[in-house]
Amino acid sequence: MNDSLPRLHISRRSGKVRVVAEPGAQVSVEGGSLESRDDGTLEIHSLASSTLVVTCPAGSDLTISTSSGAIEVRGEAGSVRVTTKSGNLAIEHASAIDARGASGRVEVGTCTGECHVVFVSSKVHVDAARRAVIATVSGNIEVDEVDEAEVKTVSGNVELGARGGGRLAARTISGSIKILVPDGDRPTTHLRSVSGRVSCECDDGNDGDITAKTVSGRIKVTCR
Amino acid sequence: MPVTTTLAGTIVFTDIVGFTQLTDEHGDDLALTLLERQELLVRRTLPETARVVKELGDGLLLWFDDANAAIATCLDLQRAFEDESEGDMPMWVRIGMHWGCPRARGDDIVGRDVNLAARISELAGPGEVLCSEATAERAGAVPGVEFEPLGSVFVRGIADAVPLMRAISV
Repeated sequence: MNDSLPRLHISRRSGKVRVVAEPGAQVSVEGGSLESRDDGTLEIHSLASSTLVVTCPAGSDLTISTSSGAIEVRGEAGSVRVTTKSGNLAIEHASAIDARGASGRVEVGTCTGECHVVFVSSKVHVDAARRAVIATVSGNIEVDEVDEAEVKTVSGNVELGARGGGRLAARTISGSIKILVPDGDRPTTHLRSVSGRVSCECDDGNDGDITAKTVSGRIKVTCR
Repeated sequence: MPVTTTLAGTIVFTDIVGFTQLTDEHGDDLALTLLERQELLVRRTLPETARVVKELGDGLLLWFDDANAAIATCLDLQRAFEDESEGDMPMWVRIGMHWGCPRARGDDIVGRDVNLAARISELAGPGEVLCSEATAERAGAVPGVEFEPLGSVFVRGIADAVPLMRAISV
């Protein structure tokens, strides 16, 4: 947390929320009200039906609470915390993420810290994260590039792109698990499927640690 | 109007993650096994000042007189569920709680605070313990536990969003 940057708490029960974090920008609000708290937090509320648009400096910490409606965070945010019930969530760039909800697609660009996502039925896609901690019940989980990951899903499919050298753990009940490792890497692997097929293209070594467990899904570890 | 009693304590919901899918894909025998494992571990872990209010399909509604004990016990429970998950079939349980003043209806509890606790549990991931800020304040210092703020949650019938925390063993 950077104390010189604003901390914004944005809440609206329903309706779209759009936050734009731009270098040098001042905090401004369209479609809602802004109130400064004693602890320095800026509280933003909206009862209007139009899109709530918040502009803030790059690196601002955001806490966004909604029940329904799409949430979009553009630019470079600091830490982003989201609780919602339904509605798509898109975050372009953040230093850390904790996002929770039930349904709606989750799309994350880059998270330089921990990307923690807990949704029920949503498809979760992350372009890049240092560490991904993701859980769904039925939604697919895709992380294109990650150093460390811990993902769980009941019936969703998992696809993780390892940067190499880190610890990846994926567990499903029926969903398939596919892990891509850098060409030439030799990770330590612990792969177990009770009734599904398991295949690994990589030689065993010490370039990171991969654990994949599933009850009935397939497991595939492949080079890219 | 029936005569009712208002209680003060911590309302806890546990829920087996993906139970419906598990039952669909692996049958009723597995479902029964998971339910029995959950109930056994919960009953073994609960302190005397807590009780199972009722079973809710794939979860349990619990009551704790003391918020501090609720937090500590639920984190112990998650460790027990994690140990159970070492085998082939994981035991993923999410737990949510809220300190409030529900109405007693026989052995049952009802009211706004019960609804809020249920909503909080819906936002927990497998292995997590989430609570309202009110619970964390009531609990005070819990040895070996930190609270991480997560934002607020909207609940039907409550105008303002309710601040939410994650309890973490440290």
